Amino acid sequence: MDELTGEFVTETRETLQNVSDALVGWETNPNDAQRLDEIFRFVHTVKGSCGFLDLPRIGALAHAAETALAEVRRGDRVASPALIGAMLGIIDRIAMLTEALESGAEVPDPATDEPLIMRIDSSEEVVAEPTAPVAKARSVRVAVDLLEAAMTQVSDLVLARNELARRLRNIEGDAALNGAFDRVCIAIGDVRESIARTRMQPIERLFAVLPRLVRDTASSVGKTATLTIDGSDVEIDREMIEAIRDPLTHIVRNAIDHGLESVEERTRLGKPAIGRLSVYAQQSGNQVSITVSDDGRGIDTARLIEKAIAANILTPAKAANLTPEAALQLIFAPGLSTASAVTDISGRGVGMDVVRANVERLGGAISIDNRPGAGLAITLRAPLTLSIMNALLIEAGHQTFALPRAAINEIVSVKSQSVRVEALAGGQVAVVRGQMLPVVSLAKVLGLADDTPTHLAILDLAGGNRFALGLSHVRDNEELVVRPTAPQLAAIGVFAGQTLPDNGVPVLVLDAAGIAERAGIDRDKRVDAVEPVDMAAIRSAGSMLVFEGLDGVRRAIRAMQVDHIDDVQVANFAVRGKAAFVTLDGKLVPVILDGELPESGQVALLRLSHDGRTIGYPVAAVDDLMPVPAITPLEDDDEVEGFVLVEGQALPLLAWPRVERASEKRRARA
Amino acid sequence: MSMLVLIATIGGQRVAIDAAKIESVVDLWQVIPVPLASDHVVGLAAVRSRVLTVIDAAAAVGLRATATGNRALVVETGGHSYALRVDAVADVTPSIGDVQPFDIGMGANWIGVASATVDTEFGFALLIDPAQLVSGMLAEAA
Repeated sequence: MDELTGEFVTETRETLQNVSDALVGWETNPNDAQRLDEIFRFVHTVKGSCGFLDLPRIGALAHAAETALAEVRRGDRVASPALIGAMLGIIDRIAMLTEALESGAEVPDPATDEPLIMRIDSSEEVVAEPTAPVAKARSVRVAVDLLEAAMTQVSDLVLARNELARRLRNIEGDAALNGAFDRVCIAIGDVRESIARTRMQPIERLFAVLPRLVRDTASSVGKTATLTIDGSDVEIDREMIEAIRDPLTHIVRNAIDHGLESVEERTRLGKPAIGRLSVYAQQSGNQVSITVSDDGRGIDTARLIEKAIAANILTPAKAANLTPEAALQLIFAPGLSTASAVTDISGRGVGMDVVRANVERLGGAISIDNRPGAGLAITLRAPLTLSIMNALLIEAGHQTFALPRAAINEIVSVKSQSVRVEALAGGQVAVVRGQMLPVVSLAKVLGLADDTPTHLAILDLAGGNRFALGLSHVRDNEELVVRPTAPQLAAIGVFAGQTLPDNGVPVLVLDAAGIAERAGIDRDKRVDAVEPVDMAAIRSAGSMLVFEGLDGVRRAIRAMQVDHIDDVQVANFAVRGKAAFVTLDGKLVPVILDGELPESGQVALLRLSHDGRTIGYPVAAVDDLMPVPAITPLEDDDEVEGFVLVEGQALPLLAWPRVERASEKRRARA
Repeated sequence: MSMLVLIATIGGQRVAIDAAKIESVVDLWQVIPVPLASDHVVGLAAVRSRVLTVIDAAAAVGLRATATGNRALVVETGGHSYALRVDAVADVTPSIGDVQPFDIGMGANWIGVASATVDTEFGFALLIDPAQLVSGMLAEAA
């Protein structure tokens, strides 16, 4: 077998598992375009490679699958169970033939391929409704304890693997040994992923009670409403389902009680007499968003401001300057209800402030889209799992702590030109882009040896206030399995949990609100804070990472494209001509090279991901994480989105295509 | 009635603990201090992939912390895992004869965690309940 065929076999084998998963997922949700694309890309790539490598038999199978999938993508054909069954048959055959290329195993007579191809062509006649129930995957009940135990055991495996990896690095390269170890690593990674998936449940469990809730709530306030539910098959951690049940219930009740007008009023306004409510869930990355929207009256911000003034939350002078967005934020102010009458359902003091605090405690966020007179949409965003948290490892007073990403607005270097730290009234304040924030030294709050902060983490508190936390060192981002601390530690009030990163040394997870309280910072949003903060603008602008490439050129990349920043041994890179790879978690990941890798030691690696693909980008240094400033766009350049001005220097803001092209080059070679 | 007890030393005092209440005896290799915690909370340590809250047993009963080694007893109570750091661990041994109620002349700090003694081949020992060592301490902190 020549080298090219070998590469084809390896690559096909790697993708096959994902494709089988995607097929099964597609079967449960035939409208899932992303999975369809994934399967299509696979057969398309296989077909291309077969033409090149002269493997007509596999090529014919891939061609049949590709043709059928293209029809589904165009909408000419429905993804029926029969079609998916036929597709699985083809994929299995491709897998068998590919393996045989390497092992030389006996293969079935080529004539037996024909029925498989026929099946995929003829399954067309079986036209199923897109919403028709499909065969349910077989399932089995498992005690939660057992799942927890399996999760712990996998963590043990990962720690043992890390220890072994450290020891192997000290041994002179034995290719066979390293190969075997890599296979173990891949297996461990897969097991870890599978175990994590067993904790997931369709959000349907949460939505199942909604029709009844809507009916009962509506009838108790003399209204009628219809409910549309979408996205029930989105899967989230079962603990998260429980955690968002109350906030969701509250929002749905509010929508009916406050949002929808009475039948008479709706008729008078020319709206359909029956109110409409829709709840839909959507997964994006490792977040789930649930939107509750109604076609009621929306929020009357003028009335909201009146009430806020009456409740002494706002002065008339300040009210005059409020932007509509800032005024809308008032619904999160404690003690404010827009219900003119207290009803059974709402307006009893448990307001949106509590809902928001609960959602943020889970590491989520809440946003509002108000269309006065036409309706309101409230979106809850929450991580897919409760126990796995995206956190930044930081240092203060020579000790490492984890800071949940959800609380961090941005990280700035004290050396950055956009930051000024000054002593004021016995304390310190930081002026960050014109906003004055109190500075709290983490080491000081924790009673550790005080050190000079090199970075400030700008933290958003649940109440809306902000402060800057001084840190001596910022390390990398990690996805951490967070567990509650013992009561003796929880009582201290500054720790949100404990975790064990991959290096096996325990780390305490900080609670931003607890630290603020201990440092004497009011966690509740002052009305001053309501005014200038335009959350919508901050969110849409996003943040970016400024770094120095291996060629010494400073560049910026959108933070949402960067999954992790790792320190990786140079020895883990394999470079051949223009193609480069790095071993990450036991997998080979394509790499973009701007310049020469250092001879030895470690290099910082940006782990980029897009559409489920991962690409490594080694850089000389990571300088800063900051909000994206104004972009001067560049047209006709698919590598760079535009230029951004950072500390007086124009830096290119990389666009995804640059990254993608690097991986396409690699694919073209295969 | 005889029971299996683990004989250890806490603050110079020989104690016995029902062996069934102890998950394991471990040597802690790296204890991460917990800022702002009470004196008897030594920190966090990982044993395999579990994170244990390390408690100095002597300090928990109000004695000066005397444990210098890394030997600790792993106990689980209230859904959390603790490592009780002790001066030394002798052995697991069957008790001789019955458990004797004992409520005279005990140092104030031992009341609540120990209410009896047992005789063993190592001699008389205070019979202590590790869960109470942890929860009693909680009451004190509150």
